[in-house]
Amino acid sequence: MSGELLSSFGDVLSVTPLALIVLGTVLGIVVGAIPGLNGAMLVALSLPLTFGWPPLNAICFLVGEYVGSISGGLISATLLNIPGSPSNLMTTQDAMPMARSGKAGRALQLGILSSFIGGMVSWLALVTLSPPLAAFALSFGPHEYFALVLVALVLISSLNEGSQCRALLSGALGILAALPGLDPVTAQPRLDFGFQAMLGGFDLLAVLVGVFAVSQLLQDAAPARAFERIAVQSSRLQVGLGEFVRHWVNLLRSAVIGTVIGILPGVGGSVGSIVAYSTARSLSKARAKFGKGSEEGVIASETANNATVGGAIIPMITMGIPGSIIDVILIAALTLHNLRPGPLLFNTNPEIVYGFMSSLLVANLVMLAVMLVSIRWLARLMEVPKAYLVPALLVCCVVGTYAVNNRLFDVWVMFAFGLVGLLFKGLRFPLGPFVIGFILAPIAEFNLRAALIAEEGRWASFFERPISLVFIAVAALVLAAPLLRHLGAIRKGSAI
Amino acid sequence: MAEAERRLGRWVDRSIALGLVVLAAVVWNSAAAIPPSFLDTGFGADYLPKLLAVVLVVLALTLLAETRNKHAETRTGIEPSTESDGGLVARFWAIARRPLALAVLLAAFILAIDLGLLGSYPAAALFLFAAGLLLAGVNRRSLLLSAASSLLVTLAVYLLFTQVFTVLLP
Repeated sequence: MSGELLSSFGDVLSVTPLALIVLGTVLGIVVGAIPGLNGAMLVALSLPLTFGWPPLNAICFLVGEYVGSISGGLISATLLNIPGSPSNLMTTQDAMPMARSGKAGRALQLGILSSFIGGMVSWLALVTLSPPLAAFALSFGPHEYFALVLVALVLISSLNEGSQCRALLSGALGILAALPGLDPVTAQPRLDFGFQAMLGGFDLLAVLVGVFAVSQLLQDAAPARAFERIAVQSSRLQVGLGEFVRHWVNLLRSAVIGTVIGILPGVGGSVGSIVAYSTARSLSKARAKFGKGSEEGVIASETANNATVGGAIIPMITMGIPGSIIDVILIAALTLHNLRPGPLLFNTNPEIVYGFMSSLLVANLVMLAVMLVSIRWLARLMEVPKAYLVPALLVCCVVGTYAVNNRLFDVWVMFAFGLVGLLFKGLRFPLGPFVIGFILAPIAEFNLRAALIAEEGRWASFFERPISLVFIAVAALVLAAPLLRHLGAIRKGSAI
Repeated sequence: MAEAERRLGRWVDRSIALGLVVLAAVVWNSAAAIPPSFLDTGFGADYLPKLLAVVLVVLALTLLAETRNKHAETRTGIEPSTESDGGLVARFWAIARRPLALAVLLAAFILAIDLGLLGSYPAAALFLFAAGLLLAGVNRRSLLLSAASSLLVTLAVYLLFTQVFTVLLP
């Protein structure tokens, strides 16, 4: 493995891939820093551009955007009290109070360095855990794959904020959106309602651009509140190495939490940072300072959210199951290049697997350098007038979606799913389960039918294989957890 | 939360549940119309759509039950209503007006290209100008900035897609 990884570094550090990592990371930071725009939107919008590139170049660019966008959100979280992306939500709790008390530069630098350390720890996990996990995943058959998809959908539905029922509905509707077109086994048309254009189904890219980019841009058109804005006075380095040594327990704990949560299918940076922040607060000696400008809070949140990036790539490249929403789009990028993420990718395209690993490390280094050097200028990005930016990005969505298949039907699909995304947001239906359901539906259907055909329709066969049984038990437990909690509360109430 | 908002929330949830049941019926009917294939194993093209239709109905019923439980929980401690239904609609309209207007502009932009009324680039320029005015308000400064942004972005898109990526737009 080390030989392939080293050789991959050689590929990634050549001129074009390196330039694309730098460009992607800078773009990611810029988009992350502008409130209302987010990484999922940027990566979805970039897919049409990367369509014609060599796969490694596309990966370098998209991984750079992924790392940059998660990190860039720190800027608006600190200076505007608006999380640039959902994963920076907990950062606002302490970074903004620090900025108000004249420590904006220090808060930002703490966040940047913590992001870097979180990213590096999760990179180590990616490099060490992926090969054995992929080898383990090779033993999966249709039963195990179907059960794994079930766990992914249940996990993302349960760990989302808000109603579990709404999240499950969102996942079911995502699966439904993937069904129209030719049946993958018998090639019979289904759910096409007589429309010739529907025979090919809904284009993956059109759906992703619609759900992530168009819906977000339409939402951004709503009148914004006025926010308190704090300027960065100095970009001089105000954080010493010694201070990080003092915080090593918090750093390591938050990085491990972020990585582990990243590995859970479909659960991304926001949950990672919330859990790491809550853990840091409950274990801290200065608990009362949390929410009022605690450096421990900024470190925990920022370390964990960047650590989810590497963690989330692990299930994606080893099993083809997205670890976060942006990983759904990365799977789409691989699919567009006729590559199928999963354990076989280690044998068929090792350069892609190790390309992910090396580009993640390089993107982290680039993020650190760019953000430390240009923090004062990056802070000005928040002044970009959205009235002109939003329409320009919408034009890019239209042209980019058209460019992939040269079909205006795809543009209409993109528009329709943009409205669906907007409606989902308005009705408090999370979008994560929808896209994960959409992307995992073909895997789920193929494996479900293969398993049932092989076992002559016996559903009990899913409980007879140990790995499949474990996955189903986990899904059932997660699904039943709210009910068990409710029953526990009732029993407690009656006892009192 | 005001009582008017809760009442609206309940009606929205009931409408969603009803919509889902209708959708499930449509999916079931459409799947049932698929003829059996010569490869028929009992788990054909209609299997997952039918399974999903059942799941949708179950989840719709769960949503209704969830709404009813929430209603029962909050009924005991309702605070006096501070907002009328009319106020709620006005607040919704104030937030949703511009996104909806932008969506209509975007649809008009795509339709103009689809029907061949305008070429892609003139349509994009017009969309950028109109959307800029919609979002920034109409005044001398926004007129100038919208016109400039419309020209620059259209030129950039033309150069990027036609010259760099060699994509022919309609």
